[in-house]
Amino acid sequence: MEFQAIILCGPGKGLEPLVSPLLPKALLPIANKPMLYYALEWCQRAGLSSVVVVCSSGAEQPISKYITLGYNSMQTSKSMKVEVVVHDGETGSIVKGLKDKIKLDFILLPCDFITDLPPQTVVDIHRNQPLKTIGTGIWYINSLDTMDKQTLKPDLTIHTPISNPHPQLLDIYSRPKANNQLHVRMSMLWEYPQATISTSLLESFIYVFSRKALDYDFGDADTASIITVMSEKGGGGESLKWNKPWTSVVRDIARDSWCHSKSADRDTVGMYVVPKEHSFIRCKSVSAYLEANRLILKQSSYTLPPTTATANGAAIGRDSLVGIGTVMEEKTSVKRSIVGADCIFGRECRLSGCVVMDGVVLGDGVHLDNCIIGNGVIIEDKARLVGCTVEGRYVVREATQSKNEILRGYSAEGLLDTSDEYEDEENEESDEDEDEEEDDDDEVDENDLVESEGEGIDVDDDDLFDRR
Amino acid sequence: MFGYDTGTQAYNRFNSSPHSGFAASETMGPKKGGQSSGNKPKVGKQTAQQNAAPEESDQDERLQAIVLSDSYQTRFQPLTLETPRCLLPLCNTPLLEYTFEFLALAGVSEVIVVCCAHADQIQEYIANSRWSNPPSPFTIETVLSPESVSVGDAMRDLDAKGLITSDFLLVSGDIVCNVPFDKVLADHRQRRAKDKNAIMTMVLREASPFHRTRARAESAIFVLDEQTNQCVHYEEIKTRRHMKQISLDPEIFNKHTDLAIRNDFIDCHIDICSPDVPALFTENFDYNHIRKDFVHGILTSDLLGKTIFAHIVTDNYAARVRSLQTYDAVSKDVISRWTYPITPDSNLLADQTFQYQRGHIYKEDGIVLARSCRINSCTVVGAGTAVDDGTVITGSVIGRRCKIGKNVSIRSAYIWDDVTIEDDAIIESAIIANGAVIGASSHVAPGAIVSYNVKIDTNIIVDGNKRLTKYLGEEDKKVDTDAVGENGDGYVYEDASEAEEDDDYEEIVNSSGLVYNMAFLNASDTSFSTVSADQAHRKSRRRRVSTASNNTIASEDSDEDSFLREAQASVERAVAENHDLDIAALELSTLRMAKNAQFHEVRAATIAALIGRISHLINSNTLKARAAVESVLNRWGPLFRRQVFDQADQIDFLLLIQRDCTRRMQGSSILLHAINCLYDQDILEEEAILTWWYQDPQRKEDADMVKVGELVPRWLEWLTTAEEESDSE
Repeated sequence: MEFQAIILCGPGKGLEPLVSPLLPKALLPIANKPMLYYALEWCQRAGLSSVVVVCSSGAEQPISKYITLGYNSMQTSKSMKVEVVVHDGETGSIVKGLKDKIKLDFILLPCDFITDLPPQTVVDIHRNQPLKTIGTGIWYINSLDTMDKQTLKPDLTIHTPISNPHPQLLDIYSRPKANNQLHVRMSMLWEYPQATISTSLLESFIYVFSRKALDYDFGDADTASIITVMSEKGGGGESLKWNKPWTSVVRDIARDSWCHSKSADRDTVGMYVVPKEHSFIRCKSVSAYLEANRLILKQSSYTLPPTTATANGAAIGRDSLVGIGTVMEEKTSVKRSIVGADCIFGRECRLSGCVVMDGVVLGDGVHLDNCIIGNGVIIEDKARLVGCTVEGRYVVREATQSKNEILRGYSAEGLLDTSDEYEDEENEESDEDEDEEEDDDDEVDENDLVESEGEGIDVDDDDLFDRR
Repeated sequence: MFGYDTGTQAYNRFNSSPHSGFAASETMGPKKGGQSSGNKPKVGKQTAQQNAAPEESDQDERLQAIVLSDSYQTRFQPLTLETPRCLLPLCNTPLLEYTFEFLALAGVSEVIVVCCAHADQIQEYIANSRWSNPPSPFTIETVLSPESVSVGDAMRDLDAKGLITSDFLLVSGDIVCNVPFDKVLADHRQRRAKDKNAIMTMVLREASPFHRTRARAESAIFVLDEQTNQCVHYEEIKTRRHMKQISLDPEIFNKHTDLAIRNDFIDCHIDICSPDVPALFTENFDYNHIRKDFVHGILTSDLLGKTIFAHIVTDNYAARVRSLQTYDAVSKDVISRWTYPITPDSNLLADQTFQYQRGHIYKEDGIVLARSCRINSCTVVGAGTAVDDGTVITGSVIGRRCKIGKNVSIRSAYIWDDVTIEDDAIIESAIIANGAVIGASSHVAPGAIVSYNVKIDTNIIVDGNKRLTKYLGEEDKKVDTDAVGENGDGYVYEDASEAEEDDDYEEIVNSSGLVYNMAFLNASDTSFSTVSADQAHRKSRRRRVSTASNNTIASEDSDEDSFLREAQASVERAVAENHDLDIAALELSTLRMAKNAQFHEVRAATIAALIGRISHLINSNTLKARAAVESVLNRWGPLFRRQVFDQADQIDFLLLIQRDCTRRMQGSSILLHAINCLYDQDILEEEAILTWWYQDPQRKEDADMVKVGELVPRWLEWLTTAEEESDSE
């Protein structure tokens, strides 16, 4: 296989309070398997021989531990080489930094996607692109009605019509805030007279790129101009072009295909939208995480719960999944739920549509509806929770009634403050987490917006557009 | 009858269809028929029918077309000083013929030609044309609008005259188009049937942005909804100001998922309009241009709520001769048969005898060609023309009765009727109008225009930017011997008036020339340095006008009571007269915006009206409480969808209903059924109802309020049990 994969493991800011330094997003279980497993399995199916997993320094230990002890030991054939690399920085510079490790064309993946889209499709699409296409990105449209729409926040993606044989990415903007107009460049419209602005496309963060994209550099005559201009702006030189979120790097390459007077032979970025018959989820929010769990449940043509788990008279629906070593008392029923390993459920508990992680203890008569329960949580008798997210190791008191709340420990609050800082810090320097990406996009795009606002003043912040 | 048999295939086909029989004999009814009054056949049955039911009965068959014969532009001057644009010949056939041919193809049954400048010539032409006589597929009528100086004026005139009875086709008198129209029309009517606010459909031809028939000065960017083709933004491209970008309102991204930004349309201003369109022109007296004022105005106005759609044509021909550049391009298209069946050899005029020969050469009968002259490809030569030895004609159109001397070279030129070209002259990419004389060895450079009867002496070079005319107007000028020579006759035409008035002048002149300088259009950003401040200024000016008018409405009467009264009356009227829900909602929101009212007040007014209606039904013993509530709220409840948004709204809404019910007979059961009904419609959510009942102090404000709520607990009980049942499933 002439591809290598890069899997970027972010901190998962949107998944708080489920993630912690000990449990990074990549290891958060989906249907009792860590998220990273699905990404790795996807690479395996694609027949890749080499995968680089990139994580921030804080998450390195648990992730390498999982790969050596968990993942590798599970695999029968050891054909795929998995390597963990620590890199704290913008996603763009991460990719650039892997220049020495990447010898082939590469597939860039997030760690948090769940899909039934076969990897071969993605690879084939890239192979069939015209020569000018240096890379292909995958976008998807949310097909789940139950997903919390507010957490999706799609950008405005400008591209040539999807009905074209080879749709092309032209530009990406974050949604303009109220009263801010979106400015579409005429130069783009002359080069690409048919452009579409999509408001519903979500970035899958799966990109297939040619190796030569990494060589975009100072020495490269083609892109020298961009870098020169960028460095004038920030005064930083080469690293500037790459020192931003990967999405922005892709956007810049895409923009480059039309913002010059001689754009005809420029590299372009192709795009592919996941067709409706396939599902695609990125676990970037708690709601998406829940949906991803359900999707896996649906896909795995009902797994009978391991017999070790069942106890006298407990009813476990065939639409549920229960981990090893879990014990359930009488009259407890579990529907459409995922229960981790080593849990203890009391009598007459009712669970429906829940994700329960490992080592959770439920008292008697606990009702849980559409909840996510973190590792080692204790829920005392007769508590009723609907749509709640409970942080790991939290203790829910007897007869608590809550709806749509996030329950996190007081004791952990102090910890959280520091961990927040930790996250922020991490955000600034690294990772492909979307929130941060968007922040950055905002910044860049606002510059774009400002630029056009001024009358008669040449405020070309972006500087991409005024060049000889 | 013989004369009419020479019509085109299209025309013949049309005549043989059963439809045309009806159309041809249709009368103009009671309307005043201008010049075409000779065309009134039997008035009788159909006039009666028209009077009885002008719209419903023959909505499907009848299609009116408005032809704007005037372009309200000066791009063809000095040619149009003497002849209206629509009568200028294109491949030896007046432009208007192409328009009529298109209308016949489109199945139009009634044509109204609006004349302004040179109205007498147009009327005379139409009266003598085959379209005014019985086999014509449509009735034709000319309307004088001598005062109008813009499309807007003409539309306002039409509206005042009340000539428009149904949806109509609006075209200018200078289009060449062979688009089959039934699909366009069917789509438009379907949209109209669904949504009365879809007032207009623009027919847009897809092409490349640099297509030769795409007028440089008047092309535009359209932003369309990809699914519905609804036009959400229109932006004219300003070539001269190097427009750098277009700006889109973020609001549109909330309403439409996928938006196509298109810079590849040829917009010939072929529109299907509803009768609302002229009315809107009347309402907005500052609308002049159909695109940059009207379309732009409608799209940017929230108040009107009207929508405009596009119909994209991909594989037929549509073009408009709106500048010299497009005149050149369309002529070439007609010659190379892109416009089939509208080609020279279809002999649109009765007396034409063009025959097609290999290499796109069209010759009429009675041409005298010397043995050694060469007629190269893509050339049209009219009857009675004589071409002498050694002359070479390439890619040109030569009119009738021209005399072309020896060793003349004509390339890409348009030479109209009765022109004399003496020996050794060279003519390149120019227009030579009727009766002109080009002296021996003279050279007409690309881009020049030699208007009617101008005489150019021997050995003269006419520069490419010169436009020569003999038309004097009111001025008294001497023959311009520098330009036309000692023995010549004519003056250099200068378009002075235009320059002062229109700041786009330079743009128009530069981009409307016969020979278009591509360097002028700079597609890349590289040279873009000035942000179009003027454009921004203009926009703000327009906006100011509209807000100003809003303010005046608002200031007239802005107190809350009057809003409540009016809004309540509006809803009551809608209920009583059984209006469309959308219309009622639109009326309310217009009122709300005009009076700057809060949603709270809108809700109060709507509730007052609807509960009043329910109460009336009950008190008059028409219906029992439950049936009354359901009949009214099932029909009108959806109004609240646009008034109630979040939970706070819902609680406010519940309190309003409760308060209103306190003054009604059987208030408590109305309240109960109303809550139930609105809950079923998902306007009220369980949570809001529970919060209102258990937590809101205002609910128990006074004894009346408590009393009217007496039946609610039972329903709440039902609600919670139902909930639990569904839970435990």
